[in-house]
Amino acid sequence: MTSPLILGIETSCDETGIGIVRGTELLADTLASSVEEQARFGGVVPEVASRAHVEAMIPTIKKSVTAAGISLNQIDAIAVTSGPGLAGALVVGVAAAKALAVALNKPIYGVNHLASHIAVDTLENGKLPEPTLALLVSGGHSSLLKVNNITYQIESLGKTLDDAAGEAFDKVARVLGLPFPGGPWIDKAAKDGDALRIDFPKGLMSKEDLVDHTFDFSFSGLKTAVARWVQAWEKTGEKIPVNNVAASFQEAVVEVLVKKTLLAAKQTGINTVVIGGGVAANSRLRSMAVSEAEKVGVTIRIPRPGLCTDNGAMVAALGSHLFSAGIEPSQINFEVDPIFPITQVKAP
Amino acid sequence: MKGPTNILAIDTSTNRIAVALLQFGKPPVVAIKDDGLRHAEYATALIQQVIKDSGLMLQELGGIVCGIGPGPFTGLRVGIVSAQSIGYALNIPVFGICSHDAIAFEYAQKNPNQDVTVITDARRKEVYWTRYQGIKRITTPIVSKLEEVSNKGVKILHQPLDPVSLANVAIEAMNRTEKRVEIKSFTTDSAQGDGAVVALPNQVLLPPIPLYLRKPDALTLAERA
Ligand SMILES: [Zn+2]
Repeated sequence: MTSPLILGIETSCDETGIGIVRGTELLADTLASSVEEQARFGGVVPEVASRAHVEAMIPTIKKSVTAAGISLNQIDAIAVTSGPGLAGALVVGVAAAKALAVALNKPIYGVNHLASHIAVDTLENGKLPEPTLALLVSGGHSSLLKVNNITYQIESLGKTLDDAAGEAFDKVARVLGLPFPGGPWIDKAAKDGDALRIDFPKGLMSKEDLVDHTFDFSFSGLKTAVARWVQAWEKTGEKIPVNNVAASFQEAVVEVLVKKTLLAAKQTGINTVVIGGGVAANSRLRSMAVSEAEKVGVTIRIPRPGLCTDNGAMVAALGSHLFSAGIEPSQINFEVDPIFPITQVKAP
Repeated sequence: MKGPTNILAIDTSTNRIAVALLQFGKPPVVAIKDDGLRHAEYATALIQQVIKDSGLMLQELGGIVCGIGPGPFTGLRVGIVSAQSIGYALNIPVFGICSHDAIAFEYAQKNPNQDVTVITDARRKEVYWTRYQGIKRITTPIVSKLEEVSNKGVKILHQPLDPVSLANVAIEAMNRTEKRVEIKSFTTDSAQGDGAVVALPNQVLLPPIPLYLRKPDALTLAERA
C-alpha cells in the first residue's frame, strides 16, 4: 500500500495553515498569517483572525496544492484542527474542510491541535518511540504530556495554572517596548544580555510546589516580577537594560521548562522528549534542552522552528497517522471545541 | 452558469441554516435547520442531504450561490466558506447574494413594486436593514437600533430567508446577463457608529465574501494611545 496523501487545515489562532503530506513526507506547507494586522492591536483579536482566515482560505489551499504538485482529487483524506483554539477561527477551517470532504467524497478527521504539534515531529525525525514525553509551549498552551500512542492515547502530566509560556513572552515584550509577538524579539534581545544579571522568580519550583504541582507551570508571577522590576528601574531615570531583562526573563522561563521536563523523564523512565509549539522556536530553550538532556541520557526532538509555530503540515501529519492506523474518521457534523481536551486526539 | 443548470444555494446569515438545490424542470430540494449556534456542525450535513435527496451527482452541479449577509459573523462565514470550498473543489462558479435581496425577492413575487424594508437580527439589540422598491435595493444594508430604521409608510419585512428565493434571485440576475462584480472586499465606514457599508455595488451578483457591517470590537494600539 502506498502512503496516504493527506491535506491538513489549521485555523485555531491567527495563522491560516495548509499542509500536504504523503505518509510522513512533507510535500507542502503553506501559511497565510494575520500577524501584521494583529500587531496593530498588540495581540490576537479573534474577529480579526476569523476575517483573515476567510480571505486566505482558498488562495492558501491553491498555493499548497500547486507547491505539492498534486491535484486536489488525489488526496485520500482531509484533516482539520477542531480544537482547542479560538471558536470563531476554528469554525472557518472546519467549514472549509467539511465542504471539501463532501465535494471530493473523502473522509475527514477533526483533530486535536496539541496532538498535531507532537505529530509534526515525525515528518523530520521519524517514528515516535512509545511512550514519548512531549512539552508543548506556545502563546496559548503550556503542557507536559505522556504520549502512549499519537493516534489515540495521550495523557496530561501537567499544564500551566495561569499564563501560557508564550503569553508571558508577549507581555514582557510589551513592558520592554518590544513589538508583538514578543517571542522572537525577546530571543533576539537576550542574545546581547546577561541571563544571570537579574534573579527573577521561577514558578512552582519550590520544594512544596514540586510535590503538589510537580509538572505544572506558572508564569504569571514571573511576568509581574519583570513588570515591577522595570517600573522600579524607571524611577532611577536610567535607560532600561532591555537586553539583560530579556535574557534574565527568558532564562527563568526556559530553566523551569527544561527542569520539569527532565524531572518527568526521570520519574516516568521515558527517555525521549518531543518539544513543540511556538516557544519551541526559542533558541535558548532549544540549546538548554539539548545540553541538559544530554547529561542525563535523554533524547530531545524538536522540529525546525517553522514547524514549531502553528502550521497546516502538523495537522496533515496527525491526519496521516490516524488514516494509516485505520482510525475511523470523524462524523461530518462533528463540533469545533475551543477547549478540546488532550485526552481526545480526534473528534468523534 | 448559462442555460439550464443545477444550482446549490446556501445561507447562514441568520439563526437558520438554509440550503436548497434547484434542478432545471424539477421541484427544488430544501433542507433547513434552525440552530443559530451550530452552523459549522450542520451546514455540510444539510448540503450532503439535499444532494442525496435530489439524486444528483455532485459533478452535475453548475454553480453555487451563497448569502453574504448582513448577519452575525461567525455563522455567516460558515456558509460562505463552504460555498467557496465546494466551488473550488468542483471547479464551478460561486456567487454571493445580499441575503436581504432574497427576502425582498420572495415578497415581490406576490406583491410586486411595493416599498419594503427587510429586517434581520443583528444581536446587541440592533437590526440589519435594507430598503427595497420591489426587488430594487434603494439603500445599502445598514445596522442600527430598530427605532432608527427609516420606514415611513413602508412595510417592514421580518421573515426568514427561503434558500429557493436565494437561488432564484441569482438565476433572475443571470438571465438578465448581469456580470459578477469583481472586488476583494466591501469597505466599511467607521465614521458611522458601528460602521456601515459605504459601497455595496448596485447589483445582484456579488463576490462570495462576507458583508460585514461592523468593525472588529478592538482598538488598535494607535487608537488606545
Ligand atoms: Zn499551537
